[in-house]
Amino acid sequence: MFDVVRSLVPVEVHVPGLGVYTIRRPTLQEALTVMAGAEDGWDDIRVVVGKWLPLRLSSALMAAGPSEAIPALLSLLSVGIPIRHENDEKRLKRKLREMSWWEVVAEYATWRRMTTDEVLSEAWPAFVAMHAEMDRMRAREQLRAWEAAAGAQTGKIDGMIERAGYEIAEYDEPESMNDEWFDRQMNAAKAWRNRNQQGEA
Amino acid sequence: MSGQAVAISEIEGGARWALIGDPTTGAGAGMVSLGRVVRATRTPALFRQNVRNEVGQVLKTYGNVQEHTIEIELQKRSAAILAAMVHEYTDETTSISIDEAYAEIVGATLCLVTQEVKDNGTPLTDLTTEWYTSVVSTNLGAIANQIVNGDDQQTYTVTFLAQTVSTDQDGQAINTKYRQAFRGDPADAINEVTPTAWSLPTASGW
Repeated sequence: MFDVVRSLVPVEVHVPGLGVYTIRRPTLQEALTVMAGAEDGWDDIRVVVGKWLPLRLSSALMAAGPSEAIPALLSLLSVGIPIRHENDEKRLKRKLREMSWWEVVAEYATWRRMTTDEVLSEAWPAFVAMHAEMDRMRAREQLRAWEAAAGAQTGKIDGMIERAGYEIAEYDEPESMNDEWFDRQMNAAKAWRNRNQQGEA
Repeated sequence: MSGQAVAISEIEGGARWALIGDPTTGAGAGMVSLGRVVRATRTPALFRQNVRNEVGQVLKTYGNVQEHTIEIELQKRSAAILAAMVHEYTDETTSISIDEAYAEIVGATLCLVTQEVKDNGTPLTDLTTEWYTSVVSTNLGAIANQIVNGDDQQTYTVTFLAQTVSTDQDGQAINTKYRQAFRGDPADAINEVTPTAWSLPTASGW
């Protein structure tokens, strides 16, 4: 929850040659317009950025043109997005690219019992943080339902939630990587070490 | 005029089989399998220069690939195997010896193979098999120490830099274009009249 609170606080951004600006977090609508416009919607971006950023900063960015302004805007969007794991940033970027945003907004609106307009005016980092929570809480609700149906013991639920979260790598260790395999590779590794590195100290 | 190496793209390979060591030893005896790694990500970097033309415009020109950075996320067991290539640690009853002399892998050959190709048994000829002729690890020392000291993590991410080398580990000359990284059959990489072929252990062994 701390992520959600922190993501609402304005940020200070130092722009070389222009000074330090306090910038409010963009709304979801502004963020989506910038992301969608990064490919072919420069005019949409101009309108949105004019409302979002301080006048001097937005004019400097607009004067610099799309090739410089868009990377700068995208990096401004990434400020304050909660990162929990060192690989999250990459995963997040991939996820953001792959998402069908209207579906996400509709789903989120249903979950929070808000209208689409209300969702679109939420702060962007808070939306991302809450959306991550939404996945987790839905997994929890679903597991509760399963648990009730199966009459399982309550103590088991925490571990199951951990496993239900999408943070865990989608990776299965092959059966062939067993103890015998491990011992054989350890011996090969030690042999490699003895052959290649022992004499070089 | 100024120049710098610029990362051009990050290529996420997902889960791969990784082998590292010396492929010039017969029957792949010198290659150590790290098993199926959680993911392998490679970032090639180009050399970029800024030059000015006659009317003073700054133009960016791109040159050859300068370096590859390969990040491999390993399960704990695979990380322990990799660590054993640089650290000798012996667990005695009353002490654990930790040899700190060799902290990083230097000059090993790295090979990445997809699950499908391993199943087909054709890693040496398939065009998707990736070879990095000579790699240097940059954070294995720290990881090895974590493992030795029992600092458990679910996975460890090891970073390798691919070096440009003119000969393989057997001293055979390598074709210019193959000196840092290539995909496919290593027979094309060796620039000798009667080359010693590179080999991997039989696929069922790794």
